[in-house]
Amino acid sequence: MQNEKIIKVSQLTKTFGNVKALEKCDMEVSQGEIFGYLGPSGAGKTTTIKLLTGQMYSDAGEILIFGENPFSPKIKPQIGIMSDTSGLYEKMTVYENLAIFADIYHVDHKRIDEVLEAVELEKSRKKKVEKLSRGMKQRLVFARTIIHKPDLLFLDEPTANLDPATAEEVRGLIKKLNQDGTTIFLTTHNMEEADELCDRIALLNKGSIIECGSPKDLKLKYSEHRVVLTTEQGNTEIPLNNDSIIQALKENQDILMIHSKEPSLKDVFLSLTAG
Amino acid sequence: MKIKKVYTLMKKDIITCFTDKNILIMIAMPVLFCIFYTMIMTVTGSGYILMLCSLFNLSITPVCILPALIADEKDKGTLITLYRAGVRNREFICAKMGTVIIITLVMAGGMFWTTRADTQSFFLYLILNLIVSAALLPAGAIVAVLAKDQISANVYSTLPVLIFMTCPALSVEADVCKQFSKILPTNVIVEILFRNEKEAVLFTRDGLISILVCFLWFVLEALIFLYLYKRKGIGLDHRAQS
Repeated sequence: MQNEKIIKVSQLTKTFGNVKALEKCDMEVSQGEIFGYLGPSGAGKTTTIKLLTGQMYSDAGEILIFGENPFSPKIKPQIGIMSDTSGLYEKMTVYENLAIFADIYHVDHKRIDEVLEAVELEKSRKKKVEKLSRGMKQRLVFARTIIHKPDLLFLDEPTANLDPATAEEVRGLIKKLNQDGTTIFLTTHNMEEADELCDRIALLNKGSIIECGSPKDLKLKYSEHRVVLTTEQGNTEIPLNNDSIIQALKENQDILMIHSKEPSLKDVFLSLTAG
Repeated sequence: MKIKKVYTLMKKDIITCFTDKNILIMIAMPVLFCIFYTMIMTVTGSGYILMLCSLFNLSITPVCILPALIADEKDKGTLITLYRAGVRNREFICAKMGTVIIITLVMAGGMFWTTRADTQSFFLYLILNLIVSAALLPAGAIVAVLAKDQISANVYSTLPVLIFMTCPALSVEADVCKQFSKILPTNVIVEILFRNEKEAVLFTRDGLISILVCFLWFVLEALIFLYLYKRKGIGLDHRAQS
């Protein structure tokens, strides 16, 4: 079912010493959506992923992944995790790295060829990982993450430190996976990327979720509801309503452009965290 | 615990043993020394050379190479990747221990044939190597829990390696060492194979005592390992990450 909640988080709290990494966070992720978890460095994004994927205990709150607690071995075959550490066996070939995880997940080795083709590494199958470029390694990590066809993917800043071309390739892979039905929980500090990819996002600041919704709804919510008219004389702002726009069209004969003045996600985040 | 997963991990670990330079050097050293000593010490009996190099192999492989293999995975971030894929601690550790035992026995076999020892004792020799390496595996696991990387693993394992190797080796010449080495598991090799060089005899009083010593060491090390493991984990554990 499309609206089935794959991830349910309630009052999630995690403290490291005196530092509250996460404070009473609530969120739900539906099946089939790309959910973005945005915030600056140190906001608590990676801590959240570690808690959701059973790498760490929380101090309070409840987490359910496919209705199970994150430490349950039942859900391991259903999830894939891609994080900042590649964890590749550098002295082994591309194929051998994938074969290890194909065997761990009891996946037929034919699947290795499929994922190599999906990430465009089929020609590098016999290359040792240490000889690959950073972008190729990232694609290999991606291939390893999806080799067992997980229903839910956790991607922790998947395009961080990548050049624009490779980052665009990875975003293309993410979209393709989502089209095939995979639910994706994505953390990033790149607001443009979240705007492009995500169905819904949560904005995280200093351990708390400060806003949650689709990028479009958030931008509308925090919009100034104004329109910018560009003429040969310059730009003019008018209120966003029919009467104002019609009046402006009557008064200005040399309009070159009309566009809405809506905030970017970055503008929304900065306005929410200002002060 | 899934046997197929352990088998997959063991295959990977055996490849690592031959592709990681540090680990390969540690594995090869006893055999290389055996070849070297056999070439230059032509007057000395092959039994003495085999004993020396066996002590070297048995001291270094479980106590040094096991933690080095585990620390290597911690250093490279592959340990956490395995955990995320659902590999459990016991599967991970069993695979490493199985790999170390195989390496120990293969190297032991290589040294046996290099020294051209009496083939009638080959099977007994392998059994004794198995007993001693099994007795020392928990010691290697203790080092693995304590060490955060390969460098500290090598540092922590140096003293045990020296004790397990040197005392029994010197027990041939010095009575003090002979008395002290009676409480060491590696003494099995000296007691059963070397002291009865012409005919390796298992069922002597001292031989059986030395095997009992191995068993006691195993139990003691296992208890210490379990205690440390519950407190620190081995990296493949959420407790270690909290």
